[in-house]
Amino acid sequence: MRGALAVFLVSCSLINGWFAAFAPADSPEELPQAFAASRGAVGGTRDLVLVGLGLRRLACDMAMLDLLIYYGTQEESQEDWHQAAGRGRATRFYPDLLPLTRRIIGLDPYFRYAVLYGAGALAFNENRYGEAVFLLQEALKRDPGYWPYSLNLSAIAYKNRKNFPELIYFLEKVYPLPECPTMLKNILANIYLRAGQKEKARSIFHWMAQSAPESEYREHAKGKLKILESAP
Amino acid sequence: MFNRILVIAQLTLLEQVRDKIVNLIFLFAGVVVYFGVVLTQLAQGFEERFFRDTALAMVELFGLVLLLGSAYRVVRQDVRKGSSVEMFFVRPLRRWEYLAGRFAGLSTLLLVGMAVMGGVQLGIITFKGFSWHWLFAVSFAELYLKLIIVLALAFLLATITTSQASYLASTLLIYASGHVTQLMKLLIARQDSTDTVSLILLKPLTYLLPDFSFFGTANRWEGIAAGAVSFSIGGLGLTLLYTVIYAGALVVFSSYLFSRAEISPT
Repeated sequence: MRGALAVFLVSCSLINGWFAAFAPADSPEELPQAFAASRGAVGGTRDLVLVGLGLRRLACDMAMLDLLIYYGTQEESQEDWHQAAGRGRATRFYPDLLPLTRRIIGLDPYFRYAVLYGAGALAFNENRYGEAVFLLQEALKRDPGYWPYSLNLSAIAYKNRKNFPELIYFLEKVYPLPECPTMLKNILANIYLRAGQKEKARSIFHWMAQSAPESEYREHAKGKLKILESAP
Repeated sequence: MFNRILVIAQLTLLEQVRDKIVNLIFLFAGVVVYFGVVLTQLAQGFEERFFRDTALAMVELFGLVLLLGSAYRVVRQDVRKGSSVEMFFVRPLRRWEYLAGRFAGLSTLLLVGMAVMGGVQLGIITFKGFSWHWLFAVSFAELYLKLIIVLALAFLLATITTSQASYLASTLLIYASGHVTQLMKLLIARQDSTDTVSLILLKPLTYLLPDFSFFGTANRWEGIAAGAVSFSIGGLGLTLLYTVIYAGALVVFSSYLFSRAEISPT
């Protein structure tokens, strides 16, 4: 009995040892980063349990929901925001935007929507260029062939220098991608307005009012369209 | 010999399909997959991905619940209670044939269950207007193979454990460890080479535990779909080979232990 058990254990180990050389890489090096980023956060234990159950992607999706809820919960008044971001200064709102997005990248390095969303919010809404650049560079290390990350880096550089024509050029490249978040489309429309290109802004708001998946953006776009129509 | 195994397999499938609990699990799985549609309303901007992941997760979890319950019932409870198993062995049936038949029956049951759940999922995908991708088929195939390994593991643990609690705890622990085998290897590699505790206690485990990264195409979905991560049919063939060898070794060893077990009603 003991001999049989020993033979069985040794055979299993040999089989596994041989096969392990061919096992596809499952990005295990990313997991400690994801767990570290969610340390102390509500979803930390949930991530661990879901990864243990083999549901790493679901853990990532839940983390994305956490990010959406976090960024969708109003932390600042309109006036606070204008005091900071409206004047081109970096805001101190939503301090967990970066760690929450890094947690998502750790769980699924190819969840491009999340990276574009997090970096877009940091750079274009909160004016925290350094954090956005850091996030995009981290994402580029894992997914170097995805050109919209590089484009976003360029767009951030131009936003920083207030070079709106170049910024528009780069955001227009990201706009048609299916994974482009509505938030970035809204940002592009607003930049069009600043640059005086009302027709282009109107077409984006029109799309948003009809087809944006988020109800808040649909309402926001309808409001913008009304303002544009009433304006001379 | 094969006829006897086939008869046991058919009987197991019929028993389990007629079992109300199994039917309830199928029904519940369908409801939960449907519930995935409601949950997707929260995931604005990535609904399709969220639905796909939720539904695949539910299929995996209900498949797991189905096989854990059924494996214990056919291996342990029948033997303990002596209800049906004694009737089998009055006929010229070897114990390993009994176990192999039970395994084949439950594998088929799992296939039927997953087909039902997959059908519900595909129906909802079509209804919602989400896109179909060939990675669905690959993910389902890998999920089935993974659950076959878990089924073989459940057979072994049902044979050697002494209570249902220890059976469930040990199976779930090995199931969870199998998903972090690569992480364990990575952490051991990063440890100081003088850390003998890791080397003696953990390293052998990483060789012994099943490596579920073979079945993780669904986890690399976006990368594969975008062409950033490679995928080959050869890799799928290797996964199949791994399943056959690993699950086969577990079933053979379970059969050996089962042949030596004392069967008497308690």
